Amino acid sequence: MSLHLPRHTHTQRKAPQVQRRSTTVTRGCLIVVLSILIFLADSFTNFEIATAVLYVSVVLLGAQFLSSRHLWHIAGLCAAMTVISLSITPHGNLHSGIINTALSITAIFATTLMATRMLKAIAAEHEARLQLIHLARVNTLGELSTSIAHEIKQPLTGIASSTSAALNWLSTTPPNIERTRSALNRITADATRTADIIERIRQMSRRSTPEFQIIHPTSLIQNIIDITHTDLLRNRITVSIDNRYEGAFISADEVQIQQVFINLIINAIAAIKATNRLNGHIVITIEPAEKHFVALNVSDNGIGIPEDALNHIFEPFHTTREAGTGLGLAICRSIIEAHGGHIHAFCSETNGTTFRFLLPLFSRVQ
Amino acid sequence: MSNLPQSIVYIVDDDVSVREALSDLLESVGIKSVLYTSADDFLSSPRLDCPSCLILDVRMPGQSGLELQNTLNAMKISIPILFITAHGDIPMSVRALKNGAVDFLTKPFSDQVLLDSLHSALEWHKAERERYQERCVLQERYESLNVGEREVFRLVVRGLLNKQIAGLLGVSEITVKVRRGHVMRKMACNSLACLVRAHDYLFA
Repeated sequence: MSLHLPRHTHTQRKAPQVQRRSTTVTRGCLIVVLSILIFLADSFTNFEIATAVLYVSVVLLGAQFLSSRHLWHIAGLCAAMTVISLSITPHGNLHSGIINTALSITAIFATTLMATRMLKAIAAEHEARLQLIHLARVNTLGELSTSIAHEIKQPLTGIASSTSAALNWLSTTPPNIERTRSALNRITADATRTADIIERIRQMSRRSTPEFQIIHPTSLIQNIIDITHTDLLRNRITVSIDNRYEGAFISADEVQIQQVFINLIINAIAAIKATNRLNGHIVITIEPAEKHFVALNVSDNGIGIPEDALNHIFEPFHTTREAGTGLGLAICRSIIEAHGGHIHAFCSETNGTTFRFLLPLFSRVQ
Repeated sequence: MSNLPQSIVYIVDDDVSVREALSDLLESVGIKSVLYTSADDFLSSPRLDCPSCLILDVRMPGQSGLELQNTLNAMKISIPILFITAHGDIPMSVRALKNGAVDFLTKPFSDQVLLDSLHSALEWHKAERERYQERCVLQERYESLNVGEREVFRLVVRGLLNKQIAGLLGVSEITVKVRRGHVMRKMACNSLACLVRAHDYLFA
């Protein structure tokens, strides 16, 4: 998909990477300041007061953003500072001082050990979640496989028929070059169309770490409608896009947001199918929301969700469909929250469900 | 195929690639075609009075191909239908063929299979139109018979003798002979065999 970069921005927000770097610097400064304060307090209070135990807060703060190796370095430094404090403290009972120093050093290393274990667990969980998102995406592709096959067979039929036509035009006497050429041109166009479809699918199934790009929501949604086109058609569902926030751009991982939309559309199709109605309709609205957010709504006129079930739909493995894994909406929530937004669902009076999610606005072009 | 210059093929498919390629393929073998993007588009356009065939995509926005088949059957429009689909399943093809489709091809199909099917469909429709014409003529002739003559006609073709017919209808043998003569003349038949065939044709 092509990216339309804004030429002129009004409310510029920092891109996620820049934001992350600035927080790291702030935290680093905080650690240094805290360590110095603790060192001074430890050095100029009596031996009996174990101020050095407070170094654990430095370690815990470090655990928020440092790797295990760096955490051990910090712990070592804290221990060294405790020993230095011991040698320069002027007042109190030296015996208590030695015991307190030993206790503080033990506390520092014990905390570091716990913190590194926690980091390892968080890393494992992160990895597991990435795998899950990938799995769910592959699963979604599975659900779409009939559509995909249908999409590809159309241009293939065109190619096959145009080839036969071209051969026939060549075998006339004299050969009809003009008609042959136009048949060959159609073949090229159909081949390009097939390649485009395959490329779109490949992008969806590719496993990648989130990549933030600046996206125009309407073109992303149009792309989704193209992908789900046959499924919608088969169930006679019409889709309309209502853009009430012209020129809004979001910074998001395109593939992941596509995944959210596809899951929501698959759900909407299932909800409409359950009513057996013939005028199935999905409305996707883009509108401004509070505090520099863009709200995206996916509404259907399907069977709706019972009031008591609404609170559980985003929980993993909660499903009402026979072949469902119960992961679709859980993945949606996980993706939206990773983008700094949130998602919720509600049922309207006229039956049907609306899923509404907010994503941070990147910029707006007037 | 050039022996059927008077025939026309209607192509109804929502996909532009398929539509244009098929039309060009047919034109390259000398078959004229008219293109439609939807079932409603086809229904609202005038059809030509000549041997024809309908190439119909199953899955389309609005009315599907199978529904168009039902609509045409309900309207008693007899036109051979050749279905093409990218995702055919067995129940779908059974339904289509049961409702009188001539073939059910899965995309992408071989051009030879399509052309063979199309050729036989056009031949069938040509013959069907001739049969229909013939039936119309016979029907017209039958309408010209009066009640008494129709009764004699009904009994004659069952192989009864004039005497038996006279007994059954309660009229004289002479009357039966006269009415029989009228029947032969009005139905344009010169033999009993011809009369029997006409009767079969009318009431088959």
